[in-house]
Amino acid sequence: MIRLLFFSSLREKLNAQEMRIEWRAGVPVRHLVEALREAYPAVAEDLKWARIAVNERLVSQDHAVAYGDDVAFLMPVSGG
Amino acid sequence: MMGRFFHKRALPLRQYAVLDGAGDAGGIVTFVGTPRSDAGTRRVAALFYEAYEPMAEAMLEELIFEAKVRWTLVNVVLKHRLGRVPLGQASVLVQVSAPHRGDAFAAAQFLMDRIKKDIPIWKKEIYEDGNGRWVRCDHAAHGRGHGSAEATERIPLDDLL
Repeated sequence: MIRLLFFSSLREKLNAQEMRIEWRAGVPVRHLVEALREAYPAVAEDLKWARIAVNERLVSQDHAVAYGDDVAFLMPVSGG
Repeated sequence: MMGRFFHKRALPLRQYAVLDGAGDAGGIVTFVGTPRSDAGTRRVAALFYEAYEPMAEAMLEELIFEAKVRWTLVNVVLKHRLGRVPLGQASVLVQVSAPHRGDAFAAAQFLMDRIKKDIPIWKKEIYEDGNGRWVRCDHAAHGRGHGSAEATERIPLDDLL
């Protein structure tokens, strides 16, 4: 099980702050993003802009997701 | 419970008008960010902020550490609102005290720039007609123009309160 976290436009379009999904350990982030694009075409464009944080650290698309990870999809930020 | 950086109610600005620690500092720079009513052709009624709080808190701690390495500072205060911020209220506070004003100004500028660019905080402009759109300020800006936003969509205001 991994936990997916969504914010801003992604949260609104998915109507979900988080999702818990079964995910095979060791599969890279890239595949997770692709799976989301296919499952939710409405956010496919947003996902192109999202950076990924695993357990609160930014990671590359090659990062392997492990069991129990929090995977956050971070749209371009705009604080201040 | 809120951490040390994020507030869901009005920022305690008066508290930071008191010159705590001024004895060690030669100057205190205080920056307060406020929602701007003018967004091109549209009138903004409020801003709505959300954050990935645990990640943002950790990054802000690191940011303060980095500022203290780069400049000689006495104290740094960062505060950011979450939720709906109407016009006339503060959305962000950066206060830096330092033995010399140059360091205080430079560090405050650095901190504010990084808050806007790097920290996982998102801002939505809420217009007078109730429409809203998420603002983009960082890496997307290079491809899409500074501060561009995606297509406007109707969001019930109740969802934001």
